[in-house]
Amino acid sequence: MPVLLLQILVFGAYTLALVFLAGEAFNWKEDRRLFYVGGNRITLVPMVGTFVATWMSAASVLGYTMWLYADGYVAFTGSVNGWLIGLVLMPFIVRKLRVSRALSLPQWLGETFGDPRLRSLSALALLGAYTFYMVIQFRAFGTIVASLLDIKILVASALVYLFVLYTTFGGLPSVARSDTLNLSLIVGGVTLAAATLLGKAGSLGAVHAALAERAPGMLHPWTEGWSPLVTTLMMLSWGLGVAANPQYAIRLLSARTTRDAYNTLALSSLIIGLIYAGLTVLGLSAFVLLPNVSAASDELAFTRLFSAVLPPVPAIGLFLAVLAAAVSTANSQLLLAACSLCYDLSPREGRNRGDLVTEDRFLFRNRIAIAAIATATLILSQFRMPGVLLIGRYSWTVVAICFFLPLYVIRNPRPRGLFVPLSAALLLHLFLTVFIRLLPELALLPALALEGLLYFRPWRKQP
Amino acid sequence: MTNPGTFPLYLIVDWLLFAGLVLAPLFISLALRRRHR
Repeated sequence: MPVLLLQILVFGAYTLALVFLAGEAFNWKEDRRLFYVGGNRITLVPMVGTFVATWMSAASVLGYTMWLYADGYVAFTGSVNGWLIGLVLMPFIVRKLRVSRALSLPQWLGETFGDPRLRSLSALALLGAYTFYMVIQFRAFGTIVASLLDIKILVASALVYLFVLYTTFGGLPSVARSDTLNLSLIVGGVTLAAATLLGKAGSLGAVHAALAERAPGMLHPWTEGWSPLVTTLMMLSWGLGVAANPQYAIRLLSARTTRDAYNTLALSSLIIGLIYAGLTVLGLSAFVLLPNVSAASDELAFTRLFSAVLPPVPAIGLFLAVLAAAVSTANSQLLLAACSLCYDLSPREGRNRGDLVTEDRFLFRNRIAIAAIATATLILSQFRMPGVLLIGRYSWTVVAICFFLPLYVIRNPRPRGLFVPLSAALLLHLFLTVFIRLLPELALLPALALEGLLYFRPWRKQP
Repeated sequence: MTNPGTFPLYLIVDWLLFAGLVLAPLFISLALRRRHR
């Protein structure tokens, strides 16, 4: 069978499965609790599906693999181990979150400190961060589908737009259902591709022996540009950023029981570890088999590289895994961005639950917001602006400044006590990134330190 | 046959750190789940 026909068939089957699964989750009697947090009734299997599929974004599957291919182990030490630090911290916030009846993390923050300003500030940060981060998912999906189906990138990006819109319109129940399918595709695609490539390269030992001979620098956990200190600091700040990311915290709130929330974290860490190990094998083996593949973008280099080193079936499986990763992360972020806009930033409509008609209108406005944010993302994804990615990284760290301390450090919230420390931390972060030109991730650490210092005021005498 | 020099000590530490970070959420979650039952 010609490869293009096979690719069209596989893509068609994925589309149909997504339409069927997400469509089943649409509910005629829905309210905002069902829409945003699945009525706090999501059971273990879809919980693990949506947690891991959201975790594995196109940046993890494609970005990490290509970074590993280019620079070797520095990517493994800095990013994978850094992201996993965030996962290690998460079990500690389960109880704290589960006692709340909030529908969003900005709402939780505002209510915990009795300060509506915190809710608006953090919702604004979330809206910005997720909009820019979705651009990465749209780009990855667009480039790969364009190459798979031999169509223009704009048409392919429009396809991801439709996929993401469709799955997000049904709220978290529909996102969770489609994510279970997406997770199976990510695990299956990465495992098959990694096993095939390892078979071609010989063994893990052979891959490392070839690296030691041809590019010994790739075996070092840090490079000349990334000293051990910078690597460790980046690892730490990525860990803190992931730990404070509301897209994971909201899932812990959505679980049916506290037990399910703990079990989700326990199982997810194993699956995430398996996928990262597979991606590491892929990146290193691909370098040994075919070094020096380059292209205008990481996405193009990825499709070119793996089309060349893998036979058609595992290659299609891997590309489908990237698509599944992009869709599953984008729909989750889109839902949270719309929630920030319609629920947390709209003082009148967003605060109180009304009757059924009001509720229906409120959810209709949410769907309009979902379409508007997705359209803005689609337009942004068509411009090859490096600035967009930098703004994405910047907004990401802003989200971490908003949520890390309240989620993990502050045990007894002081009413209205966080707004000033948080604002000061945001200003310091802005100063360090804009004027001192520090990387946003590195500027996060002093900003968090200042926030903690101003909140706890250790120089004050305890009463 | 794997050459022992192929896996320098820092890589073994890196992989052990990875394994520890993957297993830690499992054990912490189970311990906290039991404590709060």
